[in-house]
Amino acid sequence: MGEQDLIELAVGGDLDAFNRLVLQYQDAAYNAAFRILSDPAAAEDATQEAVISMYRKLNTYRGGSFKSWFLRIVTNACYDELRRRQRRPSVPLEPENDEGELVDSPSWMEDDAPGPEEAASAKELEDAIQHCLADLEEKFRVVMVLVDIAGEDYESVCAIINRPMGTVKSRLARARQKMQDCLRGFGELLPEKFRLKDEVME
Amino acid sequence: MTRQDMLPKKDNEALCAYMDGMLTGEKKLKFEKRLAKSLRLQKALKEYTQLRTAVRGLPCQAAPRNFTLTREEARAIKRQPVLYPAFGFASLAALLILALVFTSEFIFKTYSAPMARELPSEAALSAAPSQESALEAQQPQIFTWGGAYGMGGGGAGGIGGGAEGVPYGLGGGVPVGGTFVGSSGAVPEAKPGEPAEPLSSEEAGAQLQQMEETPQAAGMGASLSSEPPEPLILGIRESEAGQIISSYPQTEAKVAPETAPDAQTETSRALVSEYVKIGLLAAVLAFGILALALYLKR
Repeated sequence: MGEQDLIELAVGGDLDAFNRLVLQYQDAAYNAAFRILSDPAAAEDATQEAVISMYRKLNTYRGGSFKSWFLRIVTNACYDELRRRQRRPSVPLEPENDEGELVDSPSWMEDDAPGPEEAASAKELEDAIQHCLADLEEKFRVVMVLVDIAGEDYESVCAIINRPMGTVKSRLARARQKMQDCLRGFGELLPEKFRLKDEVME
Repeated sequence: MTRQDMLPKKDNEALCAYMDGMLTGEKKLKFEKRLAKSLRLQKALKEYTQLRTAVRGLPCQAAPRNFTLTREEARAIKRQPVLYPAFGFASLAALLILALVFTSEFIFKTYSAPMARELPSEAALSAAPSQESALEAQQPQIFTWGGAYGMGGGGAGGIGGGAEGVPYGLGGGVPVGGTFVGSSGAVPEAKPGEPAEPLSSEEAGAQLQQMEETPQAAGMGASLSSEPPEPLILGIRESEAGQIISSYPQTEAKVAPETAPDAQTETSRALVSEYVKIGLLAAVLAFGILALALYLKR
């Protein structure tokens, strides 16, 4: 039975068909939620909320990629979770120095900041990437997760976050730039392919 | 990495789009030409490619459990009251009514105000006597008994209210403490030029009440009774001599009871309208917030 058949049955009220769709995409949904939230428990809650919400909204599905539609609901659930977390401020990736100026370089992470050291002590690229990903602003992180981790194309991301193409391009480019800067901060702790020299090429 | 090493925003976006295959046609060719010439862009492309490979290579976090729904859960989800549409429609309806109220008020003010300006309004007409009385009230009241040359019922006052220097009034009224006392000259105690004892307000009020209770004491108006007309002395019947036929601040006595309820009515109308508006606005906000909360909670 194809995906479209399952969708039609699920819309018609077939719970088994709905559950088969859930099983088909729950890993992608949970993975995206985990990368966005950087918290397994919160990702689990967000995924469960998304499944419940999807069951309620099945009659609003209007075709297209079911995975993208599901990811849209997951992303909204993650946004809800992030809103709840806003009471707990996090350290920004670009802090201000003593003079109140914005520090562009993430070299501050090489100092005595505990975050990078802890992540570096794990000596795992995954931790470093996840650390840098978590330090991104939420709007950049969501786009990067959807494109580079969930594998969605730009058009789908536009529909998921309900923003125009230019915004998606801009956010993705900014997210990659910030990630690159963040990973530079780990220096020798990363694999050699990420040890980028601060040399001017032109 | 310093700010000088950072790619310009346009180059950064174009590089990412190129890397993801989002550049096509002429834009792609143009960017490839630039890329071939710029070592900086080439380096950035290499770095971004490495980054994307690394991020995409992150292990997929498998779901720790199945998120499927049981039949009981599904029934519970379906049973949950869907109040969001109800509150949404209620908020919308209240908003429409509020808009209707404001629109009707705007139309009424826009099209009825010029007409109201062309014709004197009832309020303006009722206010005019009040203004006159206010002016009269500013004038000093002169109490004379029979006037400077009080000959019988003359005296200052009369129709005009007893202005000094008008020795022979026509109405036969002598202003006494703010009231006109019809005298017809039957005031033997009065001496020419002596000021009369002003009546207290209680006395004047009692006399005014007596006048109102007696239809014949209708001031200077002609009597409509069927009895043969009495001879008039300076326009006043002989039997009315010594009675109050009119109080001085006539306009105040008449206007105040008429205008006060009007003002109260206008005020009460405005208050009701404001209450309705405030109520509608509160309904819009309350239902809207509830609908929004339920929508976000879904």
